Amino acid sequence: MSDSERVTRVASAFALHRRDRGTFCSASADVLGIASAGVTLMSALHNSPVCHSDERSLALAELQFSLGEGPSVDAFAKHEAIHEPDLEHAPLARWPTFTATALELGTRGVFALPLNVGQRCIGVLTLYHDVAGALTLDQQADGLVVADTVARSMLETQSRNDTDLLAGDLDDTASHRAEVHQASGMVAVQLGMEVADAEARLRAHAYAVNRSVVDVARDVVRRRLRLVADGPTSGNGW
Amino acid sequence: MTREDLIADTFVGIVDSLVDDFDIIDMLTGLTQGCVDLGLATASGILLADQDAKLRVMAASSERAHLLELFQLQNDEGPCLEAFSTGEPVVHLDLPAAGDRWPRFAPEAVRTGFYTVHAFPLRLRISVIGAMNLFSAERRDIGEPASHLAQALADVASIAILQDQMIRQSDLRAGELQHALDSRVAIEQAKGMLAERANVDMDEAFAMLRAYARSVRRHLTEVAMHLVGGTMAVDEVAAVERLYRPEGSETSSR
Repeated sequence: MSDSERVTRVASAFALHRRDRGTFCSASADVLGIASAGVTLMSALHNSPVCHSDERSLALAELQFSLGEGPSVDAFAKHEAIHEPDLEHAPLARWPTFTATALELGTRGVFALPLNVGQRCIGVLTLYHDVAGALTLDQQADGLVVADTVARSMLETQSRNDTDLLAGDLDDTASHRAEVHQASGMVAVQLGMEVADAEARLRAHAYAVNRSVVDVARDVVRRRLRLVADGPTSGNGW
Repeated sequence: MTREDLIADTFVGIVDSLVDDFDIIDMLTGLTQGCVDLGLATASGILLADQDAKLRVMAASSERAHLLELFQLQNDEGPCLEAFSTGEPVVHLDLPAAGDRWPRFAPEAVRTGFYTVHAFPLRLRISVIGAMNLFSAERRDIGEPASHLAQALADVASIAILQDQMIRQSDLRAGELQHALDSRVAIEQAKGMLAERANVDMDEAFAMLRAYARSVRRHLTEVAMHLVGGTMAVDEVAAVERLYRPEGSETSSR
């Protein structure tokens, strides 16, 4: 397939998905023939899920950014694609917790593609596949075009919005993430620590009690849960 | 080095600049020198339009050529300006007889030691972004193949410049997007800090943040980032707010 055919194919798939109110993620998964996909917007300081084609990709993204380990984290840090075609045979030391959880959720192959704009990386497109196996050369070439299309679409979406606020379509904090940040601010004041550390505490707590960070954050915001300085937990201590 | 090698070298010099570390002035200076080395001119200079469509001297193969380009700009006349405004090449083979066309530029060019001028637009499709002058000390028409070569070099340079602008533009937009993300997160975090310190809910905390930002005439995002970064005290925002909050805003939008 020629490059221009590839670009046309990807562009029309994205246009169709937009028409049907789909997302970058459903379009990407569809074009590439991959089970599940997620897009995360990132800066040096923060990350925010933009869209996810299913619950699994959202859970695995949150997990990666909670732990600071995983292919998406590496792809952003290195500005390059990270391919793990078979998590069952991947070196465990690489991403121990991510690998175990991904396998539990039925993911065998994972491919994280950086969303590069010039020298800058604005996020990651992560593909989660049900079966083991490397991407074909065709899928790899498509992947580059898809990542480029997602990056451009995100810039377009943001620039159509004439304020300096984050465009609604890119703003996941509008839904569940807002509470994570609010809770981090509260914990920072409660425990007299920096906000970034407070968020890490929150995520560590969620992980320790096997709940989602969003659920834990909601309890903090509603003052049903207060974290204490040393131990990981203190329930109903308000 | 043969002439073919030299031509190839000049093109490669321009295209090379498409990869990282691109510097417009480096590339254009190389282009003016390339034109001299290729025997297209005694000296060469390039004008480029800036963001406000104002022409500026960007490169020249010699100080003489540089001054002559400046002279055209200062006097608002000359072949480079015409090539820029029409988007077409301009040729004059007898500058001593060009006093009618360019009453100030022609005598100055002759005084500087030039007899002939060729000017080529720097263009891409319909947009003209500048122009390149080739000055010769003797009366000579560089001829059609050489004219085509000069225009081709100018075209490649134009592509390089526009490409660079596009990259800068999208880099700027990417930076704005990331800043928007950081602002959004900082505002939510700041709300949490204020809600905790003042024992209010998130709506109330947001109203406080806004009232404080307004009272000190700073952007909401800026105040939020200072709070989160620890360079502004939570107590200050929580306290000052009570003085400034206008009557009736106690019940914030819910």
